[in-house]
Amino acid sequence: MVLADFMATALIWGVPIILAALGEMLVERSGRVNLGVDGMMAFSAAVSVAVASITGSPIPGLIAGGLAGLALSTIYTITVVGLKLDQIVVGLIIALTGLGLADLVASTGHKIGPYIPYGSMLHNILVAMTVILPIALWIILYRTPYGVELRAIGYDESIARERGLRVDLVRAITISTGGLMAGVAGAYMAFVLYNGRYFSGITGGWGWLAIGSVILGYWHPVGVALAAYAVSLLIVTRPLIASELGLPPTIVPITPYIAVVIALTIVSIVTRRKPSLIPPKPL
Amino acid sequence: MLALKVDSKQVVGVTLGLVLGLTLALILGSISPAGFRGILDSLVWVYTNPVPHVFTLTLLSPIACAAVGLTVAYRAGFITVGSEGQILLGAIVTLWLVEYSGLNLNPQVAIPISILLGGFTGALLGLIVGVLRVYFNVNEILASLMLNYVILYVSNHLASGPWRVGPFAITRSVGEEYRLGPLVMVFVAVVLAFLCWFLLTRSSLGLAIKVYGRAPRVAETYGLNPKAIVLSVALLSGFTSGVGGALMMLGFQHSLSPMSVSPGYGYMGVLVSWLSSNNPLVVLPASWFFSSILVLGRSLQASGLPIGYVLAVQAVIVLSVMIARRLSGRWW
Repeated sequence: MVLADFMATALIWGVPIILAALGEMLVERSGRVNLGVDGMMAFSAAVSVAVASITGSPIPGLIAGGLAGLALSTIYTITVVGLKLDQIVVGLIIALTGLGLADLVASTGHKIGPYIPYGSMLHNILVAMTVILPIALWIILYRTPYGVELRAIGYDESIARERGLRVDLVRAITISTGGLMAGVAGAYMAFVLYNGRYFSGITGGWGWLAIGSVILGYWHPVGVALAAYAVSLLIVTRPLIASELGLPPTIVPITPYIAVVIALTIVSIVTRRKPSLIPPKPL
Repeated sequence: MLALKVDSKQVVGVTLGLVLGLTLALILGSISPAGFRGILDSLVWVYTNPVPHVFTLTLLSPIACAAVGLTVAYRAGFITVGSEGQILLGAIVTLWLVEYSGLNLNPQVAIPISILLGGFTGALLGLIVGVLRVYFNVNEILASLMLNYVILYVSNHLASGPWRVGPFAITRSVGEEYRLGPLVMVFVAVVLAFLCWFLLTRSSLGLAIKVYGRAPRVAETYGLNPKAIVLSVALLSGFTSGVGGALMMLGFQHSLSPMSVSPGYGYMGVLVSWLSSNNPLVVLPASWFFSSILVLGRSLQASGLPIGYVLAVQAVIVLSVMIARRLSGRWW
């Protein structure tokens, strides 16, 4: 394959990581971190396949998948925003619960359903979202009063409260949006990448790669989308990297995880010297 | 969350949380082919029949070993979830030592050495995450999770490639003479739990860990070295998880084969640590409880209950207990 082919394949395979990462970026911009992304993706993948297999069409499946992610993120909203439980603990609990619930849904027998073919109208819309959403979110975050409010809450919660900003409402909205986007991401993995099938471990930790991409893109919508795309490029070029380096093919799956750890280290070193780049303080 | 004191409100909260969690577990399980009835019968069987108790004690130690180390790490505010990968790595090096190193050690020598070797490699993996956090300010949750996936795929690689024997992707099995019984494994876990408890309550490092975890700035003002604290808890939690991995390999796992998801004992350790409010001694009964849920889940696998149910139920129980504890201060 030539470079252009890899770039195009990476876009198709990168859709779930980009969508999930953009959703998580919104959550972290509002000053919270939802570590449940991987679980929300897995749960929505299972739910979307089950609904599509029952209804016979991927569109209700896609909607159900988005709502499945939203449902899990609502647990996070209630417990973290409402009850003020530890956000890290709740996030990891959602990650683990989501993976288990996904297998539980699949155990009902609805593991194969209709799929969304490459190049179909629906597929093109989903791919286009990865280009439109970063720009739309950039405009919302930096050019509208809502975006200013959201970012202000992420930078300093106590000042935002003092100024009368709707901290809890804004966070509920961003967390729900993040859940919805992780849900669509999971449904996309099942419908497009794995031909309408669900299997245990379908996400393969991509939810975590998405959370890593948020930091790599430095919480900027365009940056996050590019970082997630770069991770996806790394995933699709794995076989090539392995054969170039003379590695056995079975060891190849480790590359994106090691690359993200290295990239996080580099980003941390580079940004430490620039005090003007202040990230929101979710983690 | 870090307090050791027990009061009546906490007890009410924990009890209500457990009841709520188990009820949710029954409801969730009823959508699987095993059904509500199957889960309920199995729940009764796990606690009334003597046979499952042996399984529970066998599976307990990796969970408990990981959890006791994590209690110390979490008290220092080092939120690692690397126990999953550390357990698997400890298991890998143990298998290497007894089956692939060619040393043919006497079991009385090989067993203690493999437990220590598992511990040290786990500690080394923990140290990587600790160094990244201390010197490069990399988030330890993400770094440790990424390493979990790296170790999972390394294990899959070994099982399907270099260590494969025969037509199926599976490694050699730990020889009969090296295998451990449940009592030895539980003994190791209990020893580790008491060591961690002693460290937290009776040593100056333990005091430093608790102070740093609650108020990092105060700790620095009083001249404590935050880097040394974080690195030592990273090493310690890695060590106990690695020991758990060695026990897992010698006690019941015996061989490796490719997996789509990690075995989950490390994540269970994380949950147990939270459930026991980071108290190393409470970890022991809590791991026994979670291990019994694992036995329940395994007994129903043939009836179509997916094994992922176990982690989901355990996570739901921890969340229910957390919610009940939080509300118990407000409502009653």
